[in-house]
Amino acid sequence: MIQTAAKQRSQPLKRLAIHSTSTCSLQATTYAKCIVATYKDVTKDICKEEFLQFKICLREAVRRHILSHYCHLYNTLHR
Amino acid sequence: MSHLRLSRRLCPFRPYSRSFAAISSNSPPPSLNTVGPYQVFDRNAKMIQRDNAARRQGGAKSRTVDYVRDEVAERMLDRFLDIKRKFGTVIDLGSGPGHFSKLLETDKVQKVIMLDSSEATLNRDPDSEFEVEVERLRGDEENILQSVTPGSQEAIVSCLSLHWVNDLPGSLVQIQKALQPDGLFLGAMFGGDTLFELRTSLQLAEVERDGGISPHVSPMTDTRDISNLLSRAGFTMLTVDIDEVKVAYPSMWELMEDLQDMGEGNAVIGRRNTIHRDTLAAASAIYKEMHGSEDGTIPATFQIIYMIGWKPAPTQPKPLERGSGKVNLKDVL
Repeated sequence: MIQTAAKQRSQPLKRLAIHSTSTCSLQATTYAKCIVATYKDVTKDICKEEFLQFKICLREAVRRHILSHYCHLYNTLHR
Repeated sequence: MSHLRLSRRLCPFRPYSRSFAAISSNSPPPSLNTVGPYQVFDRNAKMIQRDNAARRQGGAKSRTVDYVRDEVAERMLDRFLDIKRKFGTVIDLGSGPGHFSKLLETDKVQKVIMLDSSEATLNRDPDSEFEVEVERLRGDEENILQSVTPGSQEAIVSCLSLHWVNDLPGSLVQIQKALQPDGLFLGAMFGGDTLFELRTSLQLAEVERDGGISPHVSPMTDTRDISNLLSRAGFTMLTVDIDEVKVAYPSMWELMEDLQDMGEGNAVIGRRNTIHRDTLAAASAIYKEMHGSEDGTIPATFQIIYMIGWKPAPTQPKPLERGSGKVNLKDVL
């Protein structure tokens, strides 16, 4: 268990992959819908607000992920 | 304060930071001021990528992503079997671990010479997996005449390798030169709309996040150009056709991981070596929304151009001279 958690921790991109596709799929879809709506004339930061929400969700998910990992580590060490 | 900033900028030693060069130091510099083929791909970086991919987990990673190449190799074999001729030796140019060569049988071909620039890829699979006799030759796919005597080969095949060649017209000329008169060239290469979903998603994400784009997916040869290139290289009796392989992935992340394991990472000269994570996350969202299927997967298109060409020989059938027809087509039709 620790091994898998550690493996996930060592692969930050994998973690980002999981969170961007499942944990934060709602925010991802909102952002992508905004892009698709304007995809013929996309400029920088045209969907800034939507992306911000997506990013907040990602950050929160990653934070929780790491927190739970350390809790798990702590619990197994102090059992 | 400004003095400090300046000295830090000039300080050549930065601990723990690895600066990535756009062109690896031991590849030849792109010839910007010389007359010659335009350098698009960093061939040295490509070789390193393919070596690394084939070595990952002792080749296990690379074997799991053989699906595209194996599929194309089988479709190419169909075309090969349509040619009613037996061959003594066939050169498999850019063979990789031998996706196509493994399928050959002894009643058609006696021996295969696999030629590839990546040593690890070339030697990934043991000889026991081949039915025909194999010889492995490490050499540059772009300069086949360095490894092969001109006018010596009965047949040259190439399965999914020519899309990393800088000088495609030149390579085709060299292949033609390496062949005997009436020799066969059969090739398959990625072209046209290959990975257009990934290309467009990354472009949109980069424009919206970073305000600019950089190459992440290689420029591909247009299908329409291939027959021109073949005839320019001096091949006759051309057959060119296109085909698509569509693969479904859970998300963009798995696609990118698999491409890396295939050794098909980005090797365009002047590529940006990092993509910001925000941009990747954005691209993944856009990919799914724009191209995603109803079952939640995302498709990736691989467009394959198959080409057959023959080196001219006096014994080959030729079209009759204009006006030499004896039968009026009007009577026939």
